[in-house]
Amino acid sequence: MSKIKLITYSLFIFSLLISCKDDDGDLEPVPFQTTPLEVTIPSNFPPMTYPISQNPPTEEGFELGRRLFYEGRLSSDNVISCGFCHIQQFAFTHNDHFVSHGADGAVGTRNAPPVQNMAFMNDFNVDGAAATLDMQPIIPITGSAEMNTSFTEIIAKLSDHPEYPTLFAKAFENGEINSENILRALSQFQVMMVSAESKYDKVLRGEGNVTLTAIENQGRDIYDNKCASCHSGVLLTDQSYRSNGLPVDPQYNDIGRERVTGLTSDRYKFKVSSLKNIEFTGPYMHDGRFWTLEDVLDHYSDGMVNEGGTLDPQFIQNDGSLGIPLTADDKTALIAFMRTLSDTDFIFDSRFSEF
Amino acid sequence: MKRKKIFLIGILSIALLFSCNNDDNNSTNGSLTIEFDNVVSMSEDLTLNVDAFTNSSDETINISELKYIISNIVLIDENGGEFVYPKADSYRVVNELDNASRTITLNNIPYRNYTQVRFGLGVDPTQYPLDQLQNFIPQAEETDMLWAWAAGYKFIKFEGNYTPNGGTEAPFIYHVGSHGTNQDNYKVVTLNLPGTARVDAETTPFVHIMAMIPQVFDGTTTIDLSSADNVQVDPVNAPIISTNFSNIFMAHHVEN
Repeated sequence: MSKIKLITYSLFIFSLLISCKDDDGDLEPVPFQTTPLEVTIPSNFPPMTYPISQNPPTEEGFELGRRLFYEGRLSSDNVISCGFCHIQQFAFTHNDHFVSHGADGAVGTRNAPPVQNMAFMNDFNVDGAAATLDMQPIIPITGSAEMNTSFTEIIAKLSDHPEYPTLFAKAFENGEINSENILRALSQFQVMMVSAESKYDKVLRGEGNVTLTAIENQGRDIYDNKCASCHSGVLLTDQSYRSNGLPVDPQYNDIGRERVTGLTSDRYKFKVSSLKNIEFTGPYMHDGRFWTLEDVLDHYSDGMVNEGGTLDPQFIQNDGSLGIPLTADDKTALIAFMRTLSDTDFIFDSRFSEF
Repeated sequence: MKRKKIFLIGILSIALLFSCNNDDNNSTNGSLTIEFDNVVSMSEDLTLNVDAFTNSSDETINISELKYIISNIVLIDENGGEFVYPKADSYRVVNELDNASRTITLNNIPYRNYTQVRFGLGVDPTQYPLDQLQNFIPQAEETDMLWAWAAGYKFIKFEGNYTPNGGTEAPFIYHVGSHGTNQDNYKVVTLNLPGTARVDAETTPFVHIMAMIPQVFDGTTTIDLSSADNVQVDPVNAPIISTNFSNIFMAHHVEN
């Protein structure tokens, strides 16, 4: 057989091989490709709790997650997005609202908690009603006082949207607009929302000769002695559930952690909130009852009650009095220290903003 | 020599042509059907909205709603080999009111002789953040098996009325799921089949599973409605009910 014949046969065989491709479209299929996002854990942070290898963030997934976070179509009235109650300049909380507003003017019973460092949390919401970050959005999306919709509805709306089918196709290989991909994208967005650039973070990392002022240091000593047993570590919370002696508001009669565990010993207990960005996240407590940090510290020094008998034992002094003894000077110093926990890089990080 | 080469190339070409076939059809995989039959006794089917039975605490039970989540289906063959049904497709809500929901057809099952079936009752906490389970959310929503206030599923939704002997009728509500990270009420059920389920080209076996509903109350632990008629996130009674419920199933017969 001549060389030419061999080449001809080879080409023929080669064409047969190629012809095995699916003939669904006329265009050559573009191989699916995403751009991985680098996830850096700050050196002073604990390991991530989020199973990131199962949902590694990509530029495309993050961008879809960001769009969804600010998407009003995730609510029944097409107005209430996640970002409606989680506003970036207030460390993703709902400033000026005791409790958050939902679709069609519904009013909730709790104050929107900050969205920051979620990849390091053990469970979610002030009572731990969500065991994983991936499942957490189910609560606001389906809650009648929040976004008041269903996954069936939002999947239909997103599928009819001019841009979302493309965004999902870019982010996920199967390109499907389904509940899994919606939640994966939201998690990819939230996993990237790491707040680690406060003055105190830099002091802890020994970065660039950053030091606390005299009054900030005085506040830090008080924090170390009187606050850090609960608001502990670099996340500024031990993520436990405790009662800090708030008088029960009969309007809500919120039993807290008991709703999740059914245990009466968990009555009126709420998750210890992180002090990160605390300057921006008012109003304070699960129901937003305190407008200022001064109000909060006044509660800790003089406002506690032991309703339900579940007040955290650390607040019960030897003489039977309740709370943490704090002088006016102590409070001033503590608030100066708390302001060193603010991370303006995070508050203004354009990656996380709506526009 | 030349002819041999051309012949070989010809054969090769034909082989390649044939290799273009889709592989879905020439499979060694078949189907198997499982029916979940909720019953009052071996001889009596469960009927909703009538006085269905009386439990050992002398309470007459009238059931209005009965739903439960079946998941993580595994078929075990005569040699102990396990075929794990694709997780994303294994989550189903069995709803007594919806006949179609009580029959689960499993496709793409390897040709083997199966002697056991294993399934989960509820949603496995180690699995449900990811691994395609989230596509179960719309189904759970439509069947009201999703808790709105918590990010979790109701594994069992069991409601109706009960009348204690000589007493007055009262409603009961059992909504059992896991309690955050605090209490895992997911159960695994393994059933021996009374005969071999033979999956092959000719046979789609039918596995008939009976769920003996009275044993929800009179199971491993006896539970009387008068002392527990509203079980929703109940740290004491929810684990009892999920354990009892996991023991109500038996494989009654197999049709090949």
